Amino acid sequence: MNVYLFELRRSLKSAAVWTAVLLAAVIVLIAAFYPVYYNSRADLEAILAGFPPEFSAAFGLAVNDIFSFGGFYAFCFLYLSLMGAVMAASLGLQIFAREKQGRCTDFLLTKPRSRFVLFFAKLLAALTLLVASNAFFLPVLAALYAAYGHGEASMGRVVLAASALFFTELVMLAAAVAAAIFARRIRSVSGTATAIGFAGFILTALHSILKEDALRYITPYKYFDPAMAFSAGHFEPRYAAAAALATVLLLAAALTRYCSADTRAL
Amino acid sequence: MANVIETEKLTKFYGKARGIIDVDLQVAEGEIFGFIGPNGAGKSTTIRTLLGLIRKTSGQAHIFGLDCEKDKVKILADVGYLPGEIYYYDHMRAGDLLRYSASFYGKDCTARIHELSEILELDLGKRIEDMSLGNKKKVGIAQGLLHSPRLIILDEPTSGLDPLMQRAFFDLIRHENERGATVLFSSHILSEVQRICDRVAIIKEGRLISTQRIADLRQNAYKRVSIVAQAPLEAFALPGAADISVDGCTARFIYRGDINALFSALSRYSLANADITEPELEEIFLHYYADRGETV
Repeated sequence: MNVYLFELRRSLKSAAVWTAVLLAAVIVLIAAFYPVYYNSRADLEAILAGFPPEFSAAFGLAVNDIFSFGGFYAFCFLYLSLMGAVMAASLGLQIFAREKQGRCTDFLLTKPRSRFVLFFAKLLAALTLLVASNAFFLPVLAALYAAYGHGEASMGRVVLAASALFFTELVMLAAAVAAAIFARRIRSVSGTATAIGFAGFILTALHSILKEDALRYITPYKYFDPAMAFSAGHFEPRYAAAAALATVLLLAAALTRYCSADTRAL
Repeated sequence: MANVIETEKLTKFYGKARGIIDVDLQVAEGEIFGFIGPNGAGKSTTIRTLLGLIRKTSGQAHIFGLDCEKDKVKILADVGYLPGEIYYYDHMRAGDLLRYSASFYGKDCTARIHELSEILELDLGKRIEDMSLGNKKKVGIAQGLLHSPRLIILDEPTSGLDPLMQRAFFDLIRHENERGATVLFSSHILSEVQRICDRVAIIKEGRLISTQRIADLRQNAYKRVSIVAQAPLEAFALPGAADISVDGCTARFIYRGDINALFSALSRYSLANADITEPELEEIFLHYYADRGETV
């Protein structure tokens, strides 16, 4: 419990800042831009028709979808998930590479706690911060839908669509935990977290351009499609399963390594 | 008396690189045990294996009769460890670090933290990254002792401490020992080990080559002697002197034997200067084992 509380306290500020950025982004994108898009449909359709299809695809622009609340949110989701991914990766790296960065691994690992317990205390702290962040995000998105939506989906579907961010963050958290544990050294948490986030973004762009189904299995921002949650009330099971599998495998590999690796002397 | 630390053929290889080989170590309850060897000899590898920071390749390692890998958590509840190099979390004050450290032991260590900070003259409100090496070391000492452990493992503990603080540190360790704590004291400085330990184990190139009582080691004490005579020294010789080099008025040698006999022999010369220092551990090993006809 002491490690959990310690990690929670140490990363609270970073999580709060990221949550504020995410909330500001979703509020600005939906409250400021969606009504403008919605009211200028004819003009925008003409503009978007002039874009090369690959360009539109890479940036998540689907002309048919973008004017519904769900479609517009799905378009925004690419950028929100990038931010969420960087936040999750940042938390994972901060929490799991804290001792490596401070060169104080000996301090923690010579305390009377098993490495298994330490791993789960840290993971629980990261999860708590992500859950807390999404506890703000979900109601904000629901409120935005209530204010700017056009009644095309039930509130349950809105909440499901909003949860896509949390599930995507879980995958990226697992990737960051594995990176923190397997890397010999993490020079910069923010730099590495941004790199992890952008790697996901590039995979998403590649998938959107190439339309390769196989590529989607390794494209974290495409595991949970909020447009589908809005329209069908569920995520695509095979990609959700791929996300769950990737998360479990990354965490299992990280846990195995954390519990068994020799701690290098300074 | 029961052994607090006991290893049997303890071996650690880092891939193909040698760590330690067949180390048999016994540290009895209540003693201050020195563990000495040159840098890279395997002292830290032995300690890190005992603490479960690294996994042994083969052999056995027990503390309090418990297996160092399987029963690591139980063992660590009663162990205080001071690493050779002190690093802690960024942006943390000494007091916060010590309170966090205490939170692992399930007992109120507040009074002890204040007692240690007074003895060590440690400012608990200061950020650790703003501290000098010596003050960081004090934080390390306090965090290693705050839970009154039964076994204290010190890895090169005095580097960075000024002589006055070294004295306070040795007094503190002696006090902990009188309280009943067993101490494993690793160092590459022989005089430091001689100052406080009951017995000493010598490790070289990963192998434990000797375990001696400090009193026995003192009898075999080596000194590096350098004299400058007022006239050129010709055919300089002295019983107990080895590795003699003469350069004009200056003679340098390693001496083992009665120090009074040394002064008596040197009184035959008219000296301008004399310097008697602790030889490097490496030199002691070379001469000690050359005397015994062993290869090191």
